[in-house]
Amino acid sequence: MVGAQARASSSLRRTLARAFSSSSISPFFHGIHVFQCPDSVGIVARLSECIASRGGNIHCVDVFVPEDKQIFYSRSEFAFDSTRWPRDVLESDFQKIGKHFNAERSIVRVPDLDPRYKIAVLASKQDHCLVDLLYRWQEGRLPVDINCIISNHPRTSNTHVIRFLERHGIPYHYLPTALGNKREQEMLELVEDTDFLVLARYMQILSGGFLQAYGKDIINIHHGLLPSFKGGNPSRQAFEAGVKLIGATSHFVTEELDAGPIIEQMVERVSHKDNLTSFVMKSENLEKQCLSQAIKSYCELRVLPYENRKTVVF
Amino acid sequence: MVGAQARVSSSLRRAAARAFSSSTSPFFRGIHVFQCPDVVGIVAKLSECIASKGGNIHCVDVFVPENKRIFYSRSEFSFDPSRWPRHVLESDFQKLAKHFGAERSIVRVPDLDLRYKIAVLASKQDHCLVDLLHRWQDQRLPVDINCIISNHPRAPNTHVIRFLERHGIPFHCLPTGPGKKREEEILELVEDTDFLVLARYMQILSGGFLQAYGKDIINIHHGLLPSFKGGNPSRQAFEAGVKLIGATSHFVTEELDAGPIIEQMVERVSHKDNLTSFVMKSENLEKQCLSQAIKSYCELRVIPYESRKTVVF
Repeated sequence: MVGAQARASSSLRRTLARAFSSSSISPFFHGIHVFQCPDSVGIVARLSECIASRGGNIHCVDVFVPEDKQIFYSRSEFAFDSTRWPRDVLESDFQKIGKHFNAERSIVRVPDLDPRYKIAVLASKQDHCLVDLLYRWQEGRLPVDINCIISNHPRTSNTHVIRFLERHGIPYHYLPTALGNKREQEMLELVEDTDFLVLARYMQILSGGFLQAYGKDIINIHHGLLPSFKGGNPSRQAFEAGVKLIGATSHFVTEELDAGPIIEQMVERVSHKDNLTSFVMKSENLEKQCLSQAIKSYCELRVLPYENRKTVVF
Repeated sequence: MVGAQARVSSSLRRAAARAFSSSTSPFFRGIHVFQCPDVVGIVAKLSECIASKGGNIHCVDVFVPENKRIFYSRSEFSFDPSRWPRHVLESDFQKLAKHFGAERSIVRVPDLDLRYKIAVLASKQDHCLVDLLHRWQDQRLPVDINCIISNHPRAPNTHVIRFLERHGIPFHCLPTGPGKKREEEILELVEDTDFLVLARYMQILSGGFLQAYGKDIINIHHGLLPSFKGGNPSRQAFEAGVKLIGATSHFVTEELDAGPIIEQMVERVSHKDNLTSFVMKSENLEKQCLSQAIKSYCELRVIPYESRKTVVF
């Protein structure tokens, strides 16, 4: 089976699997609720009462209210019996609370019932992040459906990536870019049915027009510790600066290059023993970890935009 | 006793203590750092020299970069000064240095040689200065502190002033202003030092000062260079929404916050941090990073490398 069929049937398969294993022993599903609203007394009480009244058992709550702003952010994880609290009632119950508190954001998600997030991955010539993502996805560690891969760099049919994608029925679209021709219109069409995009060392700058037209989140990996070494070849910049630490940064894409809200950063030590090659190698390791960590956090609804340049990461 | 007397007698005391304890252990620890054009046979020659005098090598770091024929090494060894007197040690290594056309050949016996003499410059922020002084008092900073120079006054009942008075370390308040950096006076006060430490000293030292002083100056920058150069890097970091903040210790050059980096450290920050906790975490890092850099420097682990970097063994 390929593409969309695989996805729909995958979702059904998962639900059935849960149902068959759950009928006699464990009808409980795992739910996540994320909430953002103007702060007032009683929000946590109300949210938790709602969950408890439906027999839901809260496992985990993160609440954050900044010192200097009356904004309430929370993320709760809970187990619930879907026979007692059906998915659609879950949705409307939280919607009511969202309305009541005039919430800017109220998202509920039941990973085992809801369709997986659909993503497209954009890459250029560098393989390492793309291959790492695909491998994690194959191992079931990346809870997404991959609609397609888009690249401005060709890959022949006997390459690891192409064979992998063919085995899994994931389309690969080669869209070579050139000055003045970013192929953005075509990309927009290809990614229309996605929930978010991942730039896995995609070396083209997406225009403001594209960002607006797409309208959804785009996660990028920058192979440097922002705001150091913005732009090109940060490994070489770091090498020449004689730093003792190098890093990678995953962040949301905004119009300004390498300046969107940061999701995750990681570092590794370097010394005189490192040459440019080992700088690059260490950097590639970091990029893989940092990007996959960001995507994982995002899929688990842990990442919330905060003020205009930051994120809350629960 | 104060100042110079304390230093000399301290050095004598240490040597005497070692000598008296030496009936069981006559061995002293030596450190040799070497930099010369690379050829075959340097390690053989250095180690033969040490072995021939009964010295026992404990530790060797050798580094030759891929793309340059320059040899860097640092060796630690123990030796019997009755068999290999200090001045013979010195001349033996000098001969080797001549033989190899060495750019750098430094031998140091911490328990016999004079301690490094430093001056510490600070401004209003106390934390790095206080941390340094405490470590020095706990004998974790193997230096003699000639004086503290600050462009910010401190009243006699402050912790720093009382501490300095107890230990006989002069405190010089040299307020600065536009066009008035007091560099001439500073130069006089630090003439007899081996290196300087800028412990959050917020004035930029001029190229003229750096040339006139001529010796190494170690600075702590409260940010992860080259990010956030200049003023208030904690605030810059806070507003940039980074998830990691850091500190950098480096040698001072004419260009602000751009000299060869010696050490860098980071800590995680998140949405739970406000500007205050950013600053607090940063101050912790600065203290650790600066003292680590000074320690490495005193142990002869830091060697300038190319124009902007360091080898840190």
